[in-house]
Amino acid sequence: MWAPCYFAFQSYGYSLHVVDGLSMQPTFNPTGEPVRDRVVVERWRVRALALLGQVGRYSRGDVVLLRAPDRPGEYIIKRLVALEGDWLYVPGRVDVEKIPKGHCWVEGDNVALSADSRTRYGPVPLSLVEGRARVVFWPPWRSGRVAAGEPIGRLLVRNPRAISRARDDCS
Amino acid sequence: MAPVRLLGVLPKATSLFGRELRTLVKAVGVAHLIHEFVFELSIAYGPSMMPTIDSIGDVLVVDKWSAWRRKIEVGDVVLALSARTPHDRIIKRVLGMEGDIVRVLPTSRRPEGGGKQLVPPGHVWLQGDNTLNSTDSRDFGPVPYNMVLGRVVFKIAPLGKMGFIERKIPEPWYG
Repeated sequence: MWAPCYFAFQSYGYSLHVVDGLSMQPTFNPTGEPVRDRVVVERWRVRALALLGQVGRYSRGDVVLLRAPDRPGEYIIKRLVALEGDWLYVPGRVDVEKIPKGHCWVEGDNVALSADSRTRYGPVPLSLVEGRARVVFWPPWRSGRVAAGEPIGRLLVRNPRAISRARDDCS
Repeated sequence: MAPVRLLGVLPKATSLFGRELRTLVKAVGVAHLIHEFVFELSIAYGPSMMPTIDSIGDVLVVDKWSAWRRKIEVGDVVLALSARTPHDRIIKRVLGMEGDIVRVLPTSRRPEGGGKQLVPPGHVWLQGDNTLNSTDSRDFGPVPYNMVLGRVVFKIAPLGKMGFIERKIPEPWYG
C-alpha cells in the first residue's frame, strides 16, 4: 500500500532511470553495452518550483532528463547547452542559432552518435525538462556524481535573465 | 520473525500519531496517483478559449487518463504545458495530430496567415477557439505530444454553464 507514496516521491523528489544508448558517452555508458548506467534524477527543483508558480532553475551545462519532443511517452537524457535568449554557435553551420523564448538547446556528449537539438529537434521547449541527472549509482565501479560542464566557446551571447525568471503572460 | 515484528511495532511505539500519520501519507500518495493518471480539477483564466471556456475562472475536469493512454484526437480541448513559459499550463483545442496538414490562420501579429503546415511526428497543433486573441501553435509552432497533460472533459463552474465540453472540429479551419 506504500506504492503510491513511492510513485509520488519519484515524481516530486528523486527518480531512478536506466540510461539507454551511447549518445551521452563518455559521461554515461562509456564502454557501451551490456552494462548500462543507472542514474538518480533530481526532480524536486523543477516540480516544486513549478508548483509554486516559478520557473525551475536550470543551468547551462547540467545533464537533464527530458520528455522526448517527437516520441510520446519516451524520455531522453542530454546536456543543456543554451537557454532562451542565448545566441549559440553550432559547429558545421553558418548561421548563429538564437534560442527562442521558453526553449533550450540540448546536445549529447557524443557528438557523432546523438540525436539532439543539432541533428533532429532544434530548440526544445523547457517545459519538457523533468529534472537533472545528479548521480550514477550503478554499476558500482562507475558510481559518482554527474559532472556539469558547458561546451567551451559555443555561446556568443548569454542571456543573464534566462534562469529563474518569473512567469508573465499565459494566454 | 523478529525483524518483521520489529517493523510492525516500531512506528507505534515511537509516535503517538503514527497510525494516523501513516494513513495520511498513504492518502496523499493515492491522491497524487489519481491526480497524475485519472483526473484533476483545474481553473482556467484568459480569453483564448472563449466562448467555450470563459476568461473569468471556469472550473474544469481534466481527464488525464486519455492523454497518458494517447487517446487524444483532433477536436479535443486539452490542457498542455506552455512552449513559451516553462511549466505554465495552457488550454487549447487540438486541430491536428502528427501527419496532418493544418491551415495556419491569421493572427493579430501575422494578419496574412501562414499558409499550410505539416504537423511533424509526435507533435500536435494547438489553437485557441478565440482565434483573434490567442497565443498558440500559430505563434510557437507545433507542440510535442508529451506536453499535452490531459483532455478537458467537463465544466463544473459556473453552475449555470455546467456540462460536457464536446470534441468538435472547427470545419473551415482544418484541412
